[in-house]
Amino acid sequence: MGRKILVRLLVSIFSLFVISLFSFALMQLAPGGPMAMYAENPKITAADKERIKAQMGLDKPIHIRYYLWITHMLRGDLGTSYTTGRPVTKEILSRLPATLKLMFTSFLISVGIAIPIGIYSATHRYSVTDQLVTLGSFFGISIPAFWFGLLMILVFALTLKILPAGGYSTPWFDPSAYPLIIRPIAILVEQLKYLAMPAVVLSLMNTASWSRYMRSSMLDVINQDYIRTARAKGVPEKQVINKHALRNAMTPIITIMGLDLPSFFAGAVITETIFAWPGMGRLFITSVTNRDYQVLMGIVMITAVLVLLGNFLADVLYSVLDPRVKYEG
Amino acid sequence: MKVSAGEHKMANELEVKIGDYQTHFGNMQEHTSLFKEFWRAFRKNRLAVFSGIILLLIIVTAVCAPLLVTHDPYRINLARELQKLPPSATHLLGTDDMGRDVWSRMLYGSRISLLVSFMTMIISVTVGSAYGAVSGYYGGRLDSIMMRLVDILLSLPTMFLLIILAAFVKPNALGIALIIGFTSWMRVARLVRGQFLSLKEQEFVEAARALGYSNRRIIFRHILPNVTAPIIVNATLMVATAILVESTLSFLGLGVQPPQFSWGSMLTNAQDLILLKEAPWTAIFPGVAIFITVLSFNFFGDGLRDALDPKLKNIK
Repeated sequence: MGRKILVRLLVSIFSLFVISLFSFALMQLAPGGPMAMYAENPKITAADKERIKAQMGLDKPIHIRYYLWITHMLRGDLGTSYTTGRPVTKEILSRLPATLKLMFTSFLISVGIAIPIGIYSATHRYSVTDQLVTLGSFFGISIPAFWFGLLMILVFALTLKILPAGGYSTPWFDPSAYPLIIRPIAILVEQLKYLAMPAVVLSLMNTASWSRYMRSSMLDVINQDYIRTARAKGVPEKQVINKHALRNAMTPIITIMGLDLPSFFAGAVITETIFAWPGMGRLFITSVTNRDYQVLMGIVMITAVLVLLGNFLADVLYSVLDPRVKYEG
Repeated sequence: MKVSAGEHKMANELEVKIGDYQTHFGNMQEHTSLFKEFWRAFRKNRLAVFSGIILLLIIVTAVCAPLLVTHDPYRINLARELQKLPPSATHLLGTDDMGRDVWSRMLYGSRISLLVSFMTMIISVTVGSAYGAVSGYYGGRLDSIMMRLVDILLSLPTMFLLIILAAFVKPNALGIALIIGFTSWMRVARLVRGQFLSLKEQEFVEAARALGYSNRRIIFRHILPNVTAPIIVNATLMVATAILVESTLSFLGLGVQPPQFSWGSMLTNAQDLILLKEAPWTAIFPGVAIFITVLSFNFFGDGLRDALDPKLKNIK
């Protein structure tokens, strides 16, 4: 197992290298770089432009720039943001908690809904509920997330006025205004008020697709011999499903969750944009508008690391859940 | 290469044998009966048939858009009394914040949305099939390197690269199709590669090899036709995904640039809460159009899969 993990680690490092090379080349070679912002400003002279270019390090040839970038990155330095002048690492780290909070909540919602629904559908195959679930999951994978978000805002924020249309917290929220006993509840409600809509929107796609996977995976498992054996031994049906079948049905889902990570991050970009959630996704979109190469590279790299880490954890968890599977790199 | 008469005859007989194996494309009669068989299975799935009809309708309205519009979809009218009008007899789906007729814009928007998605599908299916075919056919070391690359690409947050590229290049419709297509061919490649791995061991391939056909001919003329069914299914579902991705890009303002527009770009302005509150129809209808189209493609593709390949039932 140790050797397999090592191989996996090496492949991951290689992937990161490929990703960095690819995105670096893509950004630097595409027209309309950071200098495009200054191109049409008549107050900026040619000399100014040269100076700005040199300041950003854009006057050097591309391979030198990449070399400088990657050697700095290996020392944990992702450079300075072109727009704010702050270190990229700081910029991203200040945004990461919000994104992780959103993704984690959304993940809990997806798992909490998809797994029970999938099990129920599989054990009540072809029932009305099962058919409704299948239909619902088709709706879930077909609805554009950004539009669903707009509809939620329209209904809950603009019409019913029970949730804020966006943002992260109320600036004037003061927990000390509440009696000590209900203070934790007040804080939780305050957090959930802002989290609810973005988390639901982000979880929609995953909930829909994971419930379908869970259903088919469960169907595969309950037709296996060992389930028949368990039933024949007189194990109560509930226990057969929850203990014998569930664990085996979960393993493929864990792989799927790992594979869905990239689109999960992409979904976060859209959701954060719609709900003005101050996370990494929104930072990404602003940096795209500002052509802030440094921040963009940083976000792509950090996302890639998180995705690879997630996939790795999924694989390890897989081999823990299913002892038949030896960990393979 | 010169062949004697005897050898030539043998080759002909072998050719007939190959024809036998490749029942799909054997002769016309078998072809028809296969289609009938498919149709019998497909027809039973009412939802898929209904979705097919809806799709046909959507495509026809997109093609005939100039005949169906009630107003000029591009004409901006800033007269206050023409802005944000609710749906009425003159403006079926109301007008937007620039006084443009939403119904007419939806008809024209469908053209870009569908055009880009179909082009995306063609690019992604072509690249993916070719890649998967080569990888699966040659196998061995080449295969493992090629598939590792696919794994790497699949674990990439491609949407990030896609957004960066779209923002920097400001592409036209074909450009967007290229960008989405080149970041989404990996699943097709995996699928085709898997099929090639098993098909290349079959007798008709051996027979074709014995005839001395080139690898290229065997790949494209002998094996690939047998992978048609799963490719068609995948292509249909691919269009659904492409519509979603394109509309998301356009929503972010990174799709086709004005004055051109797609369903997604019609929703860009609805991010403004005042517009969303005052004229919700500008946000609702284009979204409904995207939703119905994507849903129909998904139902249709699912029906195709069940009818073309019963083995795949219940697997996503």
